[in-house]
Amino acid sequence: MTSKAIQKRTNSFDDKRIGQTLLSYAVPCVLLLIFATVMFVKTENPRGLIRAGVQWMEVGSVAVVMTAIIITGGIDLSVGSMVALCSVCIGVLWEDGQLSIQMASVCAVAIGLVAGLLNGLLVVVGLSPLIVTLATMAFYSGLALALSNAEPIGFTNELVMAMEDTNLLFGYPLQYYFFLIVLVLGYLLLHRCRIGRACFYIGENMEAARYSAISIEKAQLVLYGLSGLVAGIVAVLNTMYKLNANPVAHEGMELHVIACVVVGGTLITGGHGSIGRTLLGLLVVASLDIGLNFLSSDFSWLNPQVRLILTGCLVVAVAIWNQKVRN
Amino acid sequence: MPEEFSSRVIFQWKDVHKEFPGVIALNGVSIEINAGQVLAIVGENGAGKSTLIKLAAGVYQPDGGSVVLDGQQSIHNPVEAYRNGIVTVFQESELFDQLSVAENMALLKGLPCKRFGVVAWQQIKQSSRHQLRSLPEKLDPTVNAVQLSVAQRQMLQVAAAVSEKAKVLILDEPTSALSVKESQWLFEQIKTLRAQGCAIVYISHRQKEIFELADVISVLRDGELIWTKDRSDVTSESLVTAMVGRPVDIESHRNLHKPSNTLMFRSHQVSDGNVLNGIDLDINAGEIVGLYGLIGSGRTEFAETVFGIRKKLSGSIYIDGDAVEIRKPRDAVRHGLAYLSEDRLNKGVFRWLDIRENTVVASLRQISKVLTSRRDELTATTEMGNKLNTRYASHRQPIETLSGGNQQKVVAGRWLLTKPKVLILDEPTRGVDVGAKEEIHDIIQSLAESGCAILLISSELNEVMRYCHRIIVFRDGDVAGEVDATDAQSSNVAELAFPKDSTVELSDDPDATRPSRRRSGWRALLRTESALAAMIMILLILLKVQQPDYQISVLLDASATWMILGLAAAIVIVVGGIDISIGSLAALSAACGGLVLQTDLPPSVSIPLAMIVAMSVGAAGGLVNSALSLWGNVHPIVVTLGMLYAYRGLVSTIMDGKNISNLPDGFGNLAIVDGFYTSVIYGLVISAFGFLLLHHCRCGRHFYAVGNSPTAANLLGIRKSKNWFYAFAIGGALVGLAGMLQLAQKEQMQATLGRNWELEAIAVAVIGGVSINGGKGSAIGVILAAILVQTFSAVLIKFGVPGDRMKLVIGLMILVAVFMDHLWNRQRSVRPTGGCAR
Repeated sequence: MTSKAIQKRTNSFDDKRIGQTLLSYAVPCVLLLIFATVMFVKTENPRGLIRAGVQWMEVGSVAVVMTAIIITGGIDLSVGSMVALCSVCIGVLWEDGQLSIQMASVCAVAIGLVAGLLNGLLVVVGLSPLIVTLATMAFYSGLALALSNAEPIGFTNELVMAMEDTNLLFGYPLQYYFFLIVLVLGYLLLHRCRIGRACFYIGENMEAARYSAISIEKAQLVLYGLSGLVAGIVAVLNTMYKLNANPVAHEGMELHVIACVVVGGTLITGGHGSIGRTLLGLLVVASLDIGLNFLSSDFSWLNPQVRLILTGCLVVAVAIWNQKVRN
Repeated sequence: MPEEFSSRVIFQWKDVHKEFPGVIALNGVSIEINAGQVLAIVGENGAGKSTLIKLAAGVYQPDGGSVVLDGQQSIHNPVEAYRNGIVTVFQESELFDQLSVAENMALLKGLPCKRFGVVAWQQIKQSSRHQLRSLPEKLDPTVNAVQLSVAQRQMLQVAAAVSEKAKVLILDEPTSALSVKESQWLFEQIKTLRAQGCAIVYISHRQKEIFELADVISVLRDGELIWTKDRSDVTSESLVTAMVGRPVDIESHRNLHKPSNTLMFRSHQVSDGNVLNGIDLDINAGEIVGLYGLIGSGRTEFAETVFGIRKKLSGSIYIDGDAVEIRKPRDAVRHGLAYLSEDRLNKGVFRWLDIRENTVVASLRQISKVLTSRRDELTATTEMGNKLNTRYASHRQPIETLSGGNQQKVVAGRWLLTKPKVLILDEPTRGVDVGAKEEIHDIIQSLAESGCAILLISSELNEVMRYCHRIIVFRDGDVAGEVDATDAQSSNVAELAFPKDSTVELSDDPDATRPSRRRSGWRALLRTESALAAMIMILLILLKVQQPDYQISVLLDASATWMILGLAAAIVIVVGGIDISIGSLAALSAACGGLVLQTDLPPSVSIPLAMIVAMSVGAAGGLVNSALSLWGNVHPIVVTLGMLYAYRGLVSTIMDGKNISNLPDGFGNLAIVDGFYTSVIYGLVISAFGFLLLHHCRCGRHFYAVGNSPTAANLLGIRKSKNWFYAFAIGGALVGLAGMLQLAQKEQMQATLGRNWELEAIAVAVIGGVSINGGKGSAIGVILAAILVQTFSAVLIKFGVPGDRMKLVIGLMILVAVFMDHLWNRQRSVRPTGGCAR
């Protein structure tokens, strides 16, 4: 074959690939455009928008690590429970353990890391990540309930007063900054570090990865550990922001997180995905939720139930679209 | 050849065409076979042999022409082919791992049933025992197929085929995994069948077998039939020329350079405690050492042990004069060792990753420092591509789109990039066409010339004799001898490789050599169940001691919902899916049922109607889940995650912020009548239903088959989509029933009904021994698990622990259950690979 012919084939092949990639981004981008427009048009004060975004920044931080885990073919269903557990731990350590709020926070982050490492250890042993984290999801959340006696732990007034100022930096809650840091570090880790690159190999073909001298166990341990660590930090930020530690407030967080990852176009079966996609997914899901919430003042039928239905259908529809484009 | 059959054409391909996207697989091929004839089809990889037999087996339909059996029928699907007497043993014989040998054999015949689709287990057991009697070694029909070796799997299928009284038996490379003894057994079977008038289509790469067995030989090349001739008219040379399209010099030894005298690699008394018994092997720098042996002789096992994939029990390895400790592949690479696996598809390529990613995987550390760089990786990829003359259109191409030879070059390039001092190549030319074969050997030679020590593992005698300096022969995990390649005679080498005293081995009692394989699948099941039952008993005694008047019916009442939900989850998981929308679906069904109950209809009408509505809504929900997952080709966990939101939203919309209460009078009877818990009856009835469905119905067994291997099931005509629809719908209907039961027990309903039910339902299924990967689990285990969870909860409450701590316990119970299961499996899976390993 002449080099010209090869060049031609190369181009057509690359064109097809690029077309495919563009198509797979098209649906989320269009959705984002619509909902983001709605969101910005309908909002009257930016403070409200910022406040509405806080929980999505928390979801996004966790989703970054979840992306890497899902790319390895794993999953972490216990993130919501880990946030709840760490959150409750701050409350308990501060209230009953007489620790300063700073010490309690550090301990809570450490507990998150340990919880994540425990997940990682069980996965490394060879158990199915789905089942392991399903079990620890129940376990950690049970632990949080037991530690707090199923009651939210509120903080005293002096502490509330002291915290009001530190919660915002340049008018934004700390969650925003944390998300940005996690996003950048997550990008570097997943796409530019050996351990992140290993995720793709592991998710695509675990046996071949083992035969290619990739340390699968190390990658899994690090990823699940990081998931716990990020959950711990999110718990601290959330507790400081809300000024109470609620054992049930984070139930269902894992579903939002997975929804963001999937809507972005990362394959749940592993081997394909990126941090950029998850960012897009997060923006779509968040702007949908917030935008529709703002719209509901005009259209009474857009009640929370309908929004729930729409979110669910969106997840399924985008997932199917991504799969169709890929084939 | 017996005369009476010889003139009757029993089967033919008539001018068949078959096209796949971008490739013409078959172009106007016509071959016919007489009864009592053995037809050998030969051709290189990609010549169209596999397509041809898949057309015969009904797996594919021809785009043109026809497949004719007995002069009339045309074959439309695998089941029809099988029923009409076309039996195919595929190369990668896929069995249903978690099902017993007996059931695997029965499934090949469409699972014999009594009336109403009830599986005839007795008959299946007897006939399997009968069929296995002819095998050269004993095989217990009750063990699960996962415990069989590759050879045993193939013999099993042949045995099943033989007993079938097939008209046409198609064998696709049947001896590739068989030992000599086992091959001989196979040839005897073939000869017996031929004498009975069965036509046999035999595909093999081994000329010796072809000339021994075949009456007629057909040669395919590039999807076209070259010729069909009687065996007596064919010579070895003419066969090869026809296959390749040009004469090939396969005999002469290559002119190799002289290796240096410095020792590069040495293994001293390496053994893995299983197959290898102390291997000593030296390779000098620049030397190509051939490692020849039959499958199961320990060739691959040796390479994997050296490379750190298998655990080394004793012995030591020296590279470049230093003793090295290799515990994992990473260590091996660090010490300059590289290993190209024989199993390219499963252990070599990352199919959907692109060429760059496939090339750099083992050398990321060498190519870049802290952060990886795309540009450096591209340079390395291009360099390797040029060096190995790999042909590809774009480095962004997934490796899947390359031909076998080019894939192999990419994988070889991966290892060359690590700059190995010692390179182990395991069957480097398997599945590679002749042209690329030569190129690969050129590369190997130039590598050796540059000082790399090379171990070339091959089961092709020609290959090791032609391209190596020295040949080491393995036999039964030992070095049987060493031959200098220049003056080697193929007969010498082969003699070393074949076990001489095969008659002695025939009399070996297989039970004595493979004790770990003799465990029954049924006993394994009973283990889970008896453990669960024992725990329930202990807890019950504890309860009774604490409170002597404790009523067990209270416990069963609480368990009823969980039995039903656990079974629903189990059915869906067994078929290979998962449903995390169970809680929302239960709420949706109950809400719909509740609406019916609140109408003005008399209770005698509205209650049964409500039940029907609820179960139909559940079934419909399940159908939607499975349809979306199948149609969109999206993992069910994503679909049911989305539907979890959607169904929950629907519930709130239907209920419109109000609770469902003031139910008709009779409805509570569903749960309790005069102090008697009617819900228990529901629980037991559904348990019996689940048990019968999963273990005694053809439908249920098909769920297991699909859960084990959708592709193998499809070959038998068991379609994944149909079974998924059934399983999800049955699961959904059960969920609907559970929702109504809960409504009756609570006598009112809030929009939050069923929150977290998916967790507990899946927990019950998993604790009951259902494997999350599908295809494994028992109804009794699930039922016992449901009771166990409730008993535990009752005990906790009795001891004053608040109910919400139950989550903690459930989490722990799941972990313990899967951990025990894992240990149990690991203990069992210690088995030799390959056919005649011992």
